[in-house]
Amino acid sequence: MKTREQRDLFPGALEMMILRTLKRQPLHGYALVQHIKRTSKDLLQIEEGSLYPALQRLLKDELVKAEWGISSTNRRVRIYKLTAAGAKHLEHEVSRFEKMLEGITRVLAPGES
Amino acid sequence: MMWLRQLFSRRRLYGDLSEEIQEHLEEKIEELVAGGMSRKEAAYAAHREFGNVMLTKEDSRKVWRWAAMEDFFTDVRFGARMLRKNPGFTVIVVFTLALGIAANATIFSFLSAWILKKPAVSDPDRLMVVYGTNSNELREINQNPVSAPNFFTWEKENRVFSQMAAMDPYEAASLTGQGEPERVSAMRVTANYFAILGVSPALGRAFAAGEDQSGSDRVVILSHRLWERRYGSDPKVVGATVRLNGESHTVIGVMPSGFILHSFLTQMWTPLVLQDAQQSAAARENRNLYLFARLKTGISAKQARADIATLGRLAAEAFPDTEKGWGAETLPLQDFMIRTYPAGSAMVIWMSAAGFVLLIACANIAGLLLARAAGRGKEMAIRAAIGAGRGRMIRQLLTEAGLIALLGGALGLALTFWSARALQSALAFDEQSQALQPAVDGHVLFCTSAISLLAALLFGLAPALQAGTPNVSAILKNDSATVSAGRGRSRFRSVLVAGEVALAVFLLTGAALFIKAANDAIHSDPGFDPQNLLTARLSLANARYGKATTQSAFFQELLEKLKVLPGVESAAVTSNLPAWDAGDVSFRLKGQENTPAGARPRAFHFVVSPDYFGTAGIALIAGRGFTESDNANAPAVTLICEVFARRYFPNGDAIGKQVLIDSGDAKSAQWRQIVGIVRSVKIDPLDSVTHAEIYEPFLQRPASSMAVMVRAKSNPEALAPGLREAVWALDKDQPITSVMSMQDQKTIETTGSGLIETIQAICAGMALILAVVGLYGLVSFSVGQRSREIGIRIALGAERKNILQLVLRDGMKLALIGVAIGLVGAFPLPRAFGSLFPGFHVAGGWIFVLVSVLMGGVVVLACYVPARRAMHLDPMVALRYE
Repeated sequence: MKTREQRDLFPGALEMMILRTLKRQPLHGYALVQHIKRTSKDLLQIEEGSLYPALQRLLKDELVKAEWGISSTNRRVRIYKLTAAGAKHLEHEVSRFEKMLEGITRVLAPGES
Repeated sequence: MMWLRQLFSRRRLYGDLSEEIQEHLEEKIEELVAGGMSRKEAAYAAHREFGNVMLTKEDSRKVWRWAAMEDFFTDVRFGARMLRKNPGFTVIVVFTLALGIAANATIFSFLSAWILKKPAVSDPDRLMVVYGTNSNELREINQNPVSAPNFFTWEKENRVFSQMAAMDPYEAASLTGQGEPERVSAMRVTANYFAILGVSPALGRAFAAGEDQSGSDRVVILSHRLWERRYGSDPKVVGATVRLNGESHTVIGVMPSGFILHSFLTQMWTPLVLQDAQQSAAARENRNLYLFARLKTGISAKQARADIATLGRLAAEAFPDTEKGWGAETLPLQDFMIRTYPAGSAMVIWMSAAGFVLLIACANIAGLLLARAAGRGKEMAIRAAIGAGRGRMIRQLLTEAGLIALLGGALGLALTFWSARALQSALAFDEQSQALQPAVDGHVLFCTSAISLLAALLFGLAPALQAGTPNVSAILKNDSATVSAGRGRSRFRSVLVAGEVALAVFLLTGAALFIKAANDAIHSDPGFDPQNLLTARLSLANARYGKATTQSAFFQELLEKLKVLPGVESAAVTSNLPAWDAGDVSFRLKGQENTPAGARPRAFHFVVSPDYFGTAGIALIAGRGFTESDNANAPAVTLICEVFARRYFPNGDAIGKQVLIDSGDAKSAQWRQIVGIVRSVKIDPLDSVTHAEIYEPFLQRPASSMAVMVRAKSNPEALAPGLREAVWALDKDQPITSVMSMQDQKTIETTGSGLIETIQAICAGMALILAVVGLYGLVSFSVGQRSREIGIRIALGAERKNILQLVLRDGMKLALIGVAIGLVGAFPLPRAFGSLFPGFHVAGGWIFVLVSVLMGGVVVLACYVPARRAMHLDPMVALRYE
């Protein structure tokens, strides 16, 4: 069991990372989660299962779409692809996140205020 | 439309999801195996990394779901399954609910149609009736008409009414010409009456100003019913001439069929002619008018009451001789009518009976649901243990209770419509009740449904409240580790059973006592013999029989003719039949000569021919009755009843004493000697209390309007044609009204006492069935819960006989406790009813015994049947049960 702190992403963070990853290339679920884990250098220990509810939310909001296909390892997989709405949403979310991060950083920066 | 597509593609969606997750895990495992792990280890690791597969699926699906709605459907499905699993329980609860709702909604619908419906006048809340009150009133209803002089004064001096009309409701007229002569009720009203009420005729016109002046008053307006019946709904009747009391009148209008004021029924209206000059003392004593008035804008009914009360007081101060003891009051028309309504007491009886049924129904539902709740403690604990939130559990139980409520409500609704229609056709026995158009009243239905449904929901929640106890493991342990139900649970069940027995004993005893008291009142000895009596009313026209001698001659001749009719035993005339419309008078005893009019004692008053007591079957207790020689030339005599004698001559020395009766005009009042005492008669058929009555001989006080009473040897109805012929042989234009047997007369008075009895029997039957069914259901359910214990006892070698004894002993103990508590509660009921309904003599100790024995019996039976079933069960089955 992972401790609470490790899991505690803010709401929407996982979705944002999924969208960012899919922007580069369409992927299926397993590859997606492996990519996120790898890229984050395992700093964000994501429970693999938590990917799926997030993917369902994105599907429902039509930010991604899914198609059954065959993976490089020759498995039947569902490949997720970013939609136009998804791309736009990602842009919006990223800029929002950067603003937030900047704000937090300023407050946390020592010496000032 | 996205959501719609989603709704239908959901199954595929979920399938995709499962497959995807499966593939995910496979891929991971393969990768790990490729990295050198054993397959088993890899599977563990993959699952560890992935997290809870079920939860993930659940969370993923949740994304797509219309969560609240779907949970609701799940709950409904589950609830329906629970109800199907326990059909006995479901049927009992649903029927109980339905009966409770239907009984009350039906009765209250009638009540509302009868009384609560707004009168058919415009802006009824601002139409007031002004009436007189008497501080010595004998009846419970103290709403007397007022005199013409008071009408004139109050019309001028009040500051609260914009307009005032007067109505004399007591007139009747002979309608002759076309067809049989007929006596019709003919209300006299001032010309502005219809304008103040705000109703216009359906045909023709209302009275014009000035038509209530002497000379221009030969006009008449017909009621819709009379127009239909006598004139075949012929519109040409308007403008035609009819003969009323031998004088021609022009029909100027026909009122609409909906214009019915229950307390003021009439067949026609004629102008009321009042002379300003009528200010004499005699005119003041002649109280025959009800006043109708519109409130001025901005004036409240309360202000009007105060103003009218002041005017009444002023009149009493200005004319102490005639007005002492009298006051004036005013009420909105509807309130006034509600208070006068003679069927009021019948309605109260019905409502009380129906109320008992509702109480028993609610108690049943509560008991059954609580018992089931106790049985479901374990289920709830298991749910809580595997993670069901309390809110979720409450929601599910609410849905279950709601399902029951819905079924019961729907069935109740259907039953209500059906029973309302049945009652409606049963009730249409006279003009007054036919005028009723009772419909199922929405508010009423809503209220009763709300009460019973609330009971269902409230007690349906009990398991959830129990489940709220945090000690889940204790409940689970308790249940599996012990042979029978845990101590707490079985104690709860015992309390429930004893409580339900107590409640059933209490309510059933109450219902039975009440119904018996009402029936006793109806059937209590009326003081005379109503069997085989034919009655009729004759009112001689003043034009022809204005003098006392002609009046007494007519009736004496008529009696001679009647006595010799075949099948007649005896015949008599009386001013009033012993019935609720009997009149009352004030009187004075020696030493009270100067008592002002309003302060004098009052008694019901009858003017009778000598054979009256023999004909009516009223026993003479002391002294002598009237004879033919008690005539106008003989000394004035009177008879009193035993209540009168006891009340005013407590020393038993009534005979020979003098009484001054204020009947007729003041001049003719004379001291009369009491020559005899007769039995008291019952005036109000729904009342078992007897009042004081005083009698005068007909020959000493002849009158033009008398009731004829004929005692028949057998069927009194068969004498009706002979009676009519005898009257018409004397005067072919003489109308005869209300020809009916005394029994019919009584039936009408009690609004169909047969019907009351039927309704009460139905209510009592329902109360009984509900109580028995509810109790049986509860007890057998709790005994059924002991199946496992019984199984273990048998498996351990207990004798079946002993087990039966054990179960029965437990049941009897609870039954006895319950009966004892119920009886203690019910013990003061007779006195309570007695004070609520003064007319009732509540008795019947045997009811207590009967109800107790019955309820005890039900408990024993309810213990025996499931215990037997449990004994014959294979112990192994019983053990595995739950």
